Amino acid sequence: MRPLDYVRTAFRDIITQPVRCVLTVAAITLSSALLVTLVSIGITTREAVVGHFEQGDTLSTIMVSANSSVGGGFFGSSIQATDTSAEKLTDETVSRLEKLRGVTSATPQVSIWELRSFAFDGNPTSYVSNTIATSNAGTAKPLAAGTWFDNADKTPNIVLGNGYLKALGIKDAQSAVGRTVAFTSVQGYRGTTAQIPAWNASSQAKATFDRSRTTIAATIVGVTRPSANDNQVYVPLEWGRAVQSPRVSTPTGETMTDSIAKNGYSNVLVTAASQDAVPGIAKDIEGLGLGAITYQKQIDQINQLSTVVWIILGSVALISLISASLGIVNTLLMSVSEQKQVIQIWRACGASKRMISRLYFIQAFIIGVVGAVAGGLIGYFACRLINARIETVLSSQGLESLQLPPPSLAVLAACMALSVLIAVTAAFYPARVAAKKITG
Amino acid sequence: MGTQAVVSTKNIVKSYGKGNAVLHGADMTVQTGEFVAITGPSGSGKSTLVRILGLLDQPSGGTLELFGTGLPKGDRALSRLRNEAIGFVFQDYRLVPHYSVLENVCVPLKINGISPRKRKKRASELLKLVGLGDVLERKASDLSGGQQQRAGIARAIAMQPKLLIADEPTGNLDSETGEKILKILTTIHKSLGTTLIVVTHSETVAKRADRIIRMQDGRLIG
Ligand SMILES: Nc1ncnc2c1ncn2[C@@H]1O[C@H](COP(=O)(O)OP(=O)(O)OP(=O)(O)O)[C@@H](O)[C@H]1O
Ligand SMILES: [Mg+2]
Repeated sequence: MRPLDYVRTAFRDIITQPVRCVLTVAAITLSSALLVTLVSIGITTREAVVGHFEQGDTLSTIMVSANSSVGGGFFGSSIQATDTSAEKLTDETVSRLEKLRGVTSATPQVSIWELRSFAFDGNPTSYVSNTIATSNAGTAKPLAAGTWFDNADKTPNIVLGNGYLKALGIKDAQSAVGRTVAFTSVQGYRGTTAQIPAWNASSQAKATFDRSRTTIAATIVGVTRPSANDNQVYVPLEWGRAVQSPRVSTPTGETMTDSIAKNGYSNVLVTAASQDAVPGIAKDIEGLGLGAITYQKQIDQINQLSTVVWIILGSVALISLISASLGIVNTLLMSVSEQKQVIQIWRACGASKRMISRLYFIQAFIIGVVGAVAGGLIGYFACRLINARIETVLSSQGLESLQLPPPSLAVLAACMALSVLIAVTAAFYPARVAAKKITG
Repeated sequence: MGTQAVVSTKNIVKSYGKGNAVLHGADMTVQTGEFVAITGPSGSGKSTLVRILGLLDQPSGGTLELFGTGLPKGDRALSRLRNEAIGFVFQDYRLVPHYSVLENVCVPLKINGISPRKRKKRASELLKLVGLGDVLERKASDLSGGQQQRAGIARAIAMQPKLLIADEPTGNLDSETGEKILKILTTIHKSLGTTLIVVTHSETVAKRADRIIRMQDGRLIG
């Protein structure tokens, strides 16, 4: 028999039962659409997240924290009750870190929660402040424009995370330099002119003062390059120290508490000479009884987690594909038993068992191909819709775009091939029945 | 081949299951160009025998030679032989009901790998020959019994077989229609020299044959 005649005959056989055929194809279509969607969203999201971390120089930096228990990981860190004997991060720690082999810089950092929010001049929207006071950060973080502030800068000069440019609608970093930003501060630095309540003032008066807000203007002197921590604002350590040292009235006059000196730094950002040196340095840091979080570790954990998620999603899709292929088995078996007479006629006219079983394989192949192609297309467009939706959700929450790509053609082709393969595999039993049981 | 035997059997036995012997050792020879009628009471094993001769069934024992040689081994070779050398006409016509008349006649040609153009040409010629030239595109199930049997014959001779076997070809038809069918078969036998084996209950049909083989209880009795 000619190849084209096989296809024609198989096709003719399929369309004698149009409803059943459409339902079978629909099952394959849905499950292969599911496969394409889940697999490519799994892959592209992972790539986007990992790619995001790999931007800039983040991979060669290590975040050092005081308590070694928090170094456990991004997802797996255990929370411990604060141990009073836990080492705090002091200038001495910083200089010890600087002396470690392969370390190019160690930059102390303090999160300044007192600066609640900030707004750009001429821009009505205010942003929740994620402000970090830091010193000599210039060696750790490259800038897209401007310069880093002086280490000992007591004036409010700031370096802006690159992510805010988009929020501001500024295309190039250079034009952000020189603009001013207004921080809202509570419970901290109030400027030298603030009227602080007397030590014996009523608690109500003190509470009112605590709730009151002060606005502090700062000048943007630099903008970071795009990286994983784009939504941070850096201020000079000394200014940050001032913000964190509120004046309080005491019976003997006013005093200031330097809470940075008291509590130590929040963390120290260590830069390695190269990416390869990172694991060794992280070990050394842990050897000092400190916690070390590397981005590589985080990426590994994201990879690990997303692989697990990916496998689960993939299995769900695979299971649905397999159950759809049981539909093919059923359809073909029904067709075989209904076409028993026809098969016998074909046999009497000289068709071999092989021809008969081939006809059933080709039927399964046609159903599989039609289902897989339709499913692939649906999956492709579903992915684009879902990606668009993810972006909408991210941007509505003020999060940065992941810029998810559409499913790759390789993924699409692989999923389609898998669907066809499963459909053809499903044809083995019915084809065998057709060839052996019916024709004897 | 020439004057060789088209069919030659030795001690053919057929049983379904254990001990249910339907054929108890059939020995027969049919020469090239012969027209043989097989008669006998119902259940005597006529259909069983000719199904074995037509390679539609396998004997439980004994030897069968077709066209002077033993049977080839394997399903593909047997199917090929069935396709190219043997035509089979059934009592109940056995057309594919949802195919057109033309498509039905094309089945053996298609199996043989003949191109669509050639097989259509050949099939419609044959259908004209049996008087179905004007119903080529009709669905097979829409035809009358006599018409269906004519289509069945056209299909059986599509590959120009050396052996044509008809199992009660007129059994489902009235005598007038049956007569026409018989005429077609004898014409084929005479004009093409096709060896013809016809199973029949009708003595008038049997009398037309060169030779009559009678069967009883699974045995050939002369
Ligand atoms: N597939 C089968 N399984 C079991 N027994 C069968 C089978 N086919 C035929 N038989 C039995 O074999 C015997 C012979 O049947 P066969 O059809 O050959 O008879 P026949 O001579 O053609 O009869 P009829 O003139 O009625 O067509 C019968 O008793 C029948 O019941
Ligand atoms: Mg019979």
